[in-house]
Amino acid sequence: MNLVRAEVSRLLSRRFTHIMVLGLLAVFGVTAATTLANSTRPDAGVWAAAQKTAEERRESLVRFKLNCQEKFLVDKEAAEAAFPGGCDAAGNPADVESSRYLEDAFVFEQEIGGLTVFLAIYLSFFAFVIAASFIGAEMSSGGITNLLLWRPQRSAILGAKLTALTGCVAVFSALFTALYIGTFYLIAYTSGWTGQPGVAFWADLAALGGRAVALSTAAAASAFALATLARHTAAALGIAVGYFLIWEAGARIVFEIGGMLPYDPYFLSSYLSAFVSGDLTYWHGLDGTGDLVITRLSGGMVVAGLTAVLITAAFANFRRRDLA
Amino acid sequence: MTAVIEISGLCKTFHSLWREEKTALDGFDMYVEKGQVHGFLGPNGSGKTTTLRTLLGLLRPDEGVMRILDTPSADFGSVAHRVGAIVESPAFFTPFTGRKTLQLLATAGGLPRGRVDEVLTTVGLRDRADEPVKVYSLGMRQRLAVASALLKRPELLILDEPANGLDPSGIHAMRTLMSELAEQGVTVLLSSHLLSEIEQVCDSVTIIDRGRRVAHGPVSVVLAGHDTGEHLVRVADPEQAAQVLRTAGATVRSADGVLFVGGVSGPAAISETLGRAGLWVTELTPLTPDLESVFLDLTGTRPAADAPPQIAVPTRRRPPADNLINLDVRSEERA
Repeated sequence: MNLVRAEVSRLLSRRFTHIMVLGLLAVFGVTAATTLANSTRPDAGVWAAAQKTAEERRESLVRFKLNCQEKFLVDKEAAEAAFPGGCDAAGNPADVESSRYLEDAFVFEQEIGGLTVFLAIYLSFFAFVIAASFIGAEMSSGGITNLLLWRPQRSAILGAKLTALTGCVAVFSALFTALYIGTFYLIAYTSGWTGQPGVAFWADLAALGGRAVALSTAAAASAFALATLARHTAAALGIAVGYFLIWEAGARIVFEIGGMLPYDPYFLSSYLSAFVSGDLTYWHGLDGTGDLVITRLSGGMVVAGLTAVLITAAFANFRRRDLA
Repeated sequence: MTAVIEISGLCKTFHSLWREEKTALDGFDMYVEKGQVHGFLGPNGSGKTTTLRTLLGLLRPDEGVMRILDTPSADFGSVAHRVGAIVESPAFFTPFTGRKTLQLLATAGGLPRGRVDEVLTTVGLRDRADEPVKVYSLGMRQRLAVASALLKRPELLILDEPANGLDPSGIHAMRTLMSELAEQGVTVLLSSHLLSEIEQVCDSVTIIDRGRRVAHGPVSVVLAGHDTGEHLVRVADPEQAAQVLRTAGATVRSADGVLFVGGVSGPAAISETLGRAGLWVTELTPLTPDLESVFLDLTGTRPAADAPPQIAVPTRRRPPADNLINLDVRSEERA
């Protein structure tokens, strides 16, 4: 416990941690300020316009459906080719809400999901960098050697650092997510439209926020493991940048050019996306048997599995290797 | 006497995919008795720091037996709270203050915060404790390192180059500290290049070269083992004096008008022999070896007149045991 307390103190005292948190707040500030600047509280005129647009949209959907059903009665084969998604593919007129067409108004209910996905991405990025620096600086400078002279228990030392790091990241991410969502609700409440969020909406949003916290914690743990294995902050960052440039960007292009489809399952980003945003449909089966999907569960299992493998490798390596 | 550190046949070779393997320790032995200040000497790259790192569990030995505070080094964790150590120049997180640095260690070790102030005062950093380490000079960082080693009131203190970067008053303070700790019963293993300091403060010494022990034992015994019994003699006519002394059975070599006379019973014999021949000495000094000369001779690092000395490449070698100089009185007594 003493070790964990000392490591929490070390993490929170680091200037780099302060700078990164300020950076995170700056990104948040810019996002919130931009939203606030571009949102106005809808007046009666704006509502009337939105209702009119929504009504037009509903009528359009009804016409589309009728037209589609007629085509199917006349020539089913030609209709299937023209409407591969069926007559309900364009949407249900009953689902069209006026608030979707409000001009210049930030609608919390509709936009907070996308904003929280964005939060998950940048929370994870900052957690990754802070974590890599936290252990990498000690590995390269020999600071961890000092500590081992005090407590020559390698697993306990590394475990205390990891516990302190992931604990702090998880708590901070949870608080920051609450602040983030609360701020945007306040913006919508004062200068936009909150919508009519029900219990199901809040449950979904809470789950999304929870996944954002989980992803940032996993990013921190993975960065910690990479920096431990590579013994340097820059090495961990280099591995991450190299992976995304060479594999996610480069190999994707090669797969595309070579016509090697489907390639989505070979990229970590597919699983990250599925875990945070929901099931990812990546391939319509050629034999017509249906779509292939990376589910949220399988995305989460890949994230958890990869993190566990990296952490296990880091501990196994750190327990045995010579320390300069 | 009880052994606090016992190392026997320690071997360590560093392997690398990209570089040739390097043997740092090649059957090294060391014995440090309780309550001693023990000097650990060796040229750069001779294996001093590797020995200390291996002893403290930072490196894994290939072969050998190590015991520390009567405990196998594999169980070092069980006695670590009794050992204070600094190895090379410790890296501190420079944005932290000296006090914060020690407080973190004290927290990790479950020590009271008051102990931090005590050791800061001991090493002379009390008034600079709240400045970030990055503004500290090399000597101040070294003091902080020593403070971190003292924090847990160790029974055994292992210091690797503690005087590195210290000014003369700092070196003096460090020497005094070592003596005080020894008086309190703390065993100190001191690795240093400052041979005069070692000679002044240490009870015994181990000299390492290319991963092997080349001399060990009490300082006085090590020095006595290299005492040739020669005397430096200055006279008005050195050539005639040399002839007279040789006739009297002494061995004489001369350099730059100075005679080095051996094979005599003492300075009085030289004075008497030359006086009887009407030659009056202007200087007569017994040549007592100092640790520096012993070190340079044993490690082969005495600079040649025409070329700067080069750091030796460590190579694995196992010379016969009788090539080693055994100056350990205790070992001889046992034998």
